[in-house]
Amino acid sequence: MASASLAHTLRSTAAWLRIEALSIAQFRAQVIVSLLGWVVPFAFMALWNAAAAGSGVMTPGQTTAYYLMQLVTTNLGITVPLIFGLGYLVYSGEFATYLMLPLPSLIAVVAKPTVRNLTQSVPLVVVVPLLAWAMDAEFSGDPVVVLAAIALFVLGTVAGLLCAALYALAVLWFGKNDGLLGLFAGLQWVLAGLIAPSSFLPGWMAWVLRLSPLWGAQGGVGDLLSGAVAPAWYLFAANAAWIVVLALVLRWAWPRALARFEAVGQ
Amino acid sequence: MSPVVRLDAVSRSFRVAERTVGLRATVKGFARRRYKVIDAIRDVTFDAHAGEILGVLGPNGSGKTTTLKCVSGLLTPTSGTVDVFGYTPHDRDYEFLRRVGFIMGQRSQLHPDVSVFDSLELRRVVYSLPDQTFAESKAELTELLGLAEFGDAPVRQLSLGQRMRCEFAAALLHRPQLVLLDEPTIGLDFDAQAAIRAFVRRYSADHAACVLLTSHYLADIEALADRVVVMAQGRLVFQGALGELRRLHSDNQVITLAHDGSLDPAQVRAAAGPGADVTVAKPGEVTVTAARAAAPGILAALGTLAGVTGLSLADPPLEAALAQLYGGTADG
Repeated sequence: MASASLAHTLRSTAAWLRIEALSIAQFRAQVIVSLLGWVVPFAFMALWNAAAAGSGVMTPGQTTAYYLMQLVTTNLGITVPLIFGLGYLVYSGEFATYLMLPLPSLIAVVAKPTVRNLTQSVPLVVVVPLLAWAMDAEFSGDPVVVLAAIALFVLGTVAGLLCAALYALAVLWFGKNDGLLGLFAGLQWVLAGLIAPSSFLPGWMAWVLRLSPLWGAQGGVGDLLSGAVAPAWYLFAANAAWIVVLALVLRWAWPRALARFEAVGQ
Repeated sequence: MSPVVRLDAVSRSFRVAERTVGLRATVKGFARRRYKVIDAIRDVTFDAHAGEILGVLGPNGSGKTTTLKCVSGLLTPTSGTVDVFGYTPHDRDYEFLRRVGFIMGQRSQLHPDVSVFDSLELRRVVYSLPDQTFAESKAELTELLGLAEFGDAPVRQLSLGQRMRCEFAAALLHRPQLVLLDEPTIGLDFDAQAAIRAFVRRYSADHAACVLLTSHYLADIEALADRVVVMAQGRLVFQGALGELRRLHSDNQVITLAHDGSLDPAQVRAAAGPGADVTVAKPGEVTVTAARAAAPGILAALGTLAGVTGLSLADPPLEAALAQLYGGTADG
């Protein structure tokens, strides 16, 4: 990947986010509809609240807290939009215009979903506390746990994005990535703990989730804040290791993937 | 002076799946896919210098755009070397990218939902332009391209001609020293084409920029290019001045004779001799197409005819020379 100063990359990212915010603001109806957001976690919340009662694994209050955090983190997640966005740009040939700019091209790909997700997450600032109160969610009040959850969210977000970016590059070999996108989304539902909290899974499967690069930014936050999983060094070490390994692999794969780019559109 | 762009025996191949037609063949192809290798360009060698406008001519599929994409670094050559400002383009060094502007006629680099002025602001940051440079460049482009009247409207609401002017502003804001123009006037009306041509000529002169231009409109090439390279079936078949192209690849010249209406075409045929082709272009005007070697003599003979009011000798249209070069492959 071409070299870039961190300051230039940050300034360019901010400028690109600004442009996407201006773009989104052009379509008021679209913004209002998007505020309804992503509500799938509610369906799993209902399921696991029922299963939690008397299970001895988590209490219904904990599963409520867990899925309220899933509601927040899935609304902020941009791994799937990154794969979809790069796939569209490569297939349509529009990626060529981004490659001519002196900045990491993926910034342009993630800017739009980032702004969209931030916009549609605004109501959650009110909705989540209200629901937590109304549904007796059990959140950990320990500041150490809260800080650990924030740290895990940051690490998990970076690891997840690197993972998605690497996965997204496959489109440069395949030409189109609809099938790849479906596979990733399915894996993410499982590995990020959307389908089930890790504590409810058999022992080995819980470890697969907690050590995967997709869990920290979603299931990890819910598991820590609901008190289902205690903060432990290996959770952070696993994400840090993923970041290092995935960044190195991405650095190796990026120029090889670009060499496959044929710069033609549909 | 060392060239800005230097291509040495550059080839680029694509491996593509063979197309199948119909459901049965498609199912068969899904199970057992066959591939073929297409050589988009082969052994292309040329160079271009600062301040020069180099036209790249060729029919559809001749490799013009592939060549420009190799120069820009969008494509990695299969073999051969591309050197631009001492950089290898496909390494995509940011200093290299800061010195290049690429306008792809059918591919927009502007955000469709925001104004061109907002897009320029984004590019100010991306290209790390100092405030004064940005202000001067934006003012210059706004004036030369007439952006003031529509610069604050979302790009998607602009006409094709207006959008293309905005594309130029976006691509040239950072004052690149190499400008790649791939069909920049495609789909534009006559006025817009003329405005774009005038702008390109002035930009190249003012900034000593090297411009590589492909266009299906020969008028673009004739108006702008100092030199041309001609491609056919992926190979470079000519490079040199336009006049040289006309001379080398056309055995004939065309004499245009104007008269006062009293001249009969038969008299013209008799004076021109048996090898010449005489056509009545319109009342009072006859064209005589003759072998290049014989044309001066015929011109002199026609000058002796009574009733002649004007005579001129010219090379045939560029299209004729190009058709000969393309070897009958021209389709656009």
